[in-house]
Amino acid sequence: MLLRLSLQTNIALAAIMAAIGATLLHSRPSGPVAHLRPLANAPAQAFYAAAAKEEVGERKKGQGKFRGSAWSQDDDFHYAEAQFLRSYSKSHRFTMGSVLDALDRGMREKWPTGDSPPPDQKVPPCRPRLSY
Amino acid sequence: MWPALGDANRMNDFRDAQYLTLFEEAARQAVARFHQLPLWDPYYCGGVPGFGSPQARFASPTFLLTLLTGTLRGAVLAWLLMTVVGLEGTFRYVRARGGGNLAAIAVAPVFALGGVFARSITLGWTNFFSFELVPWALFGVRLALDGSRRGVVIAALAVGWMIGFGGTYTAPLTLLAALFEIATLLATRARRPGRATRLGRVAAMGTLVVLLAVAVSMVRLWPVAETLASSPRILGGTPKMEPMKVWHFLFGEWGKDTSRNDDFRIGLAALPLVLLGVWRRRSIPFVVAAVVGTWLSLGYYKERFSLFAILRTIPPYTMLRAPERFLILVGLAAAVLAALAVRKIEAGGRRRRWLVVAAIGCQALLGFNTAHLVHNVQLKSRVRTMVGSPPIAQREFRQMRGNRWIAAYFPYVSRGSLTCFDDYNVAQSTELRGDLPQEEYLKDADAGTVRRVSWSPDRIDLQVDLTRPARVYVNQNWHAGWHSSVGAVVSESGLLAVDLDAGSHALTLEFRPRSALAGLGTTLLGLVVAGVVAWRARRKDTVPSRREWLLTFALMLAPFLVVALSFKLMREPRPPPLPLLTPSGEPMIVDAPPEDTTPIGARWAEGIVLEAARVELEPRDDAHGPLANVELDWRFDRPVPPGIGVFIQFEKTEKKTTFFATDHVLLSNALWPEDAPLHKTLRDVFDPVDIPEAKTAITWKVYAGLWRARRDMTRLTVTDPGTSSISYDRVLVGSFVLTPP
Repeated sequence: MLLRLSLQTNIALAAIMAAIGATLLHSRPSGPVAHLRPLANAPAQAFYAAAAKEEVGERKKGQGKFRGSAWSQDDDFHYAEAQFLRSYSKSHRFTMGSVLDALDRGMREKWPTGDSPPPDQKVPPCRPRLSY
Repeated sequence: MWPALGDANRMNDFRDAQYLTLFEEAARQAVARFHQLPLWDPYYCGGVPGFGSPQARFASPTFLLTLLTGTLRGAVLAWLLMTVVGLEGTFRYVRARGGGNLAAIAVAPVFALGGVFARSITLGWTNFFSFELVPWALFGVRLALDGSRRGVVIAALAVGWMIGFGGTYTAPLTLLAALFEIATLLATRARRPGRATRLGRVAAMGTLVVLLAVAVSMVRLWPVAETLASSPRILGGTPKMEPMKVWHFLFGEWGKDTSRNDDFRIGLAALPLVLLGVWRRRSIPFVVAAVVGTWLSLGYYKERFSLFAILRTIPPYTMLRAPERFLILVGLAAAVLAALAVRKIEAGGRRRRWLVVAAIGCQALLGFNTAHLVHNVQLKSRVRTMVGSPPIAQREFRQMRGNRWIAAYFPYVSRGSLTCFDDYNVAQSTELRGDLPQEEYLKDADAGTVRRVSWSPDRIDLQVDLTRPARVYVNQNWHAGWHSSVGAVVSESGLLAVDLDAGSHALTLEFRPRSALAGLGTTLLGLVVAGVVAWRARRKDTVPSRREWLLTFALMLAPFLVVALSFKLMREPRPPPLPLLTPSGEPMIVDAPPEDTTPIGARWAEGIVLEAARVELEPRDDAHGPLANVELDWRFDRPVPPGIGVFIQFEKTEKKTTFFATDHVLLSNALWPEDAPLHKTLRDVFDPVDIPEAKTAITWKVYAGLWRARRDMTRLTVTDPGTSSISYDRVLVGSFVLTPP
């Protein structure tokens, strides 16, 4: 009985170990960790100017959608901004990390934005709407 | 879950997945990179308390997976682990409720592989896997009510785990289910002799469960309670579901691709067995549970008969929306019902051979159902929008303007996202900036210099040299848990700052919140107590003597000594009250309305008076279009009912009547109506309202009213229009003409 139980236990343990092994193997990273590679200044500044230009129109749209709610307007703009960042990074074959980095550098170093006003640096505090 | 495992190192692009990933990654970095407890999360909203973020999940054993394998891979492994835990828990609970071994095994996937978990994979709602612990909690409660000390420990650990895992819905729903367990136990055994003794024992064991569950959950309960007490979750709306939608949620929509629909699927193949189970006497509690759960899930479908509306008047259920989530409990009840049917058929097979064939048929049906649920999980795993893992940059921390829709990227590149979302008003400073050359600074640059010596989430070391007394600002939110080695920590418009004297200072700012640290101590002691109780129960599970009862109660109360001591030993300032000012900085509580407002004197039945109002059109300029600035001056003559809000409607009648509305629940963004003083003028000034441009001159009329915004959304009745006029329980407060540009 003891031997049989031991055999059962061993089989069960082996099955569990095999399942854990297969799980870890299947979920293993496919490559090394990607480190942030900042864009060169010229493409980064071109992107920053494009982002600043985009911001003007998108903020106006947000004001129309959520009249009288500063956080909702800002949040709506950031939704559009996320879409813009995704499409810009895809069309220019940049990573999202590198365009975000360019946005960060541009705001901090006050890069030129052409005819557009510089992006807004402050954010309204999170005041979610009553219902969605 | 195999497809999800193959994608484990990629990131879900869905918005909720993004910020839930941020919480976990912030905690991982605090521990793995900075070797600290994840007390402060500087990466979101300008800084929020880590343990006080309701949906963070790191206070759970699954955090070990995150630490060992990374945040993205750890989440998928956590899904798998939680599913296994859920299968085992459902098996044990169903068996405890008379389901038998084979039946319990066969029905466990009905709950543990249910649609809610498949959907949580799609949306990245990892914290929803805390529902896998519900059967464990109920199993523990069941055992405990029968006198088992092991049951007390099981229930408490399950509750502690689900709260630590960010189960903001799980814990309140489990509490309801546990109360139901108690009620059914008392109802089914009320007629047996020794009722009083039994009631006493049930009450005593229930108290033990509550004490230990609260103790082991304290590391999350206390900080989260602190967060929500200072800024309650603001919810409006009357969510409702058609009965047919409930059917679709549970069983899917025939012939339609439901891979992107809301889903609480338990599987259609299980339905015949659930219906068979209904006819057993011992099924009655589960039939009642399923009916009550379904009724709750309908929300406000029939408002007069809404059970959900009643529940929503009781804290903490006032903070819940999405009534359909009660279907998760219906899924568990359905699993038990199906098991009771299979068990009955199995038992009948001892006398009638054809029932053996029927029992095999039942198992086959449940096997088919499991395959269907597994397929559903695969389907839901595949419809996720996955992107590559974010790049990493370990560098100086700085705040960025950020973006909550792609929030997960920020902690990986050592940046914080100032813009954020949560379901409550986050205590977020208006002075945070995303473009500062340095994060710790002086506003008066001539007063001296500030240099960052070292930075970590919970501790910032600065070298400050001042020629005169000055205030040092840190580009993060203030919290009562911040302490400084020199000077005095202050909040300036919610921004963290320290007042220092002139001279050279080695300034250290440390985040040591009482709620999280004392909560952690209580939890750790609670876990030790759980171990001791389990160890003492190894020979005799029930409490054998009066002395043992006293000892067990003393043990359960011991962890709370940490809470009591923390008030004595850990000094923490009270959060400063919100300044009761209008957005332009004027006092909002005054004796009379400002002189330049128009008197109105409209009255509502609840003792509310709109004394005066002002509506002004701010002309357009380069920065913005036309804006309307509105001030409403209220006076409350009686305590106002909780949950009311103010709505404003802008209506034009040219050609056809159209309007748009805006609403708010905090007067001047600062004061809940129910907290307002009586017999004073309350100046309610809110964000300017953008008025749409038109090609011709438009006359806009502005109406204001009150509604039960956080209740049933009905309007309060205007009883007297004063000097104005009423229309649909709205009072006309002003008008203006907008000419074309």
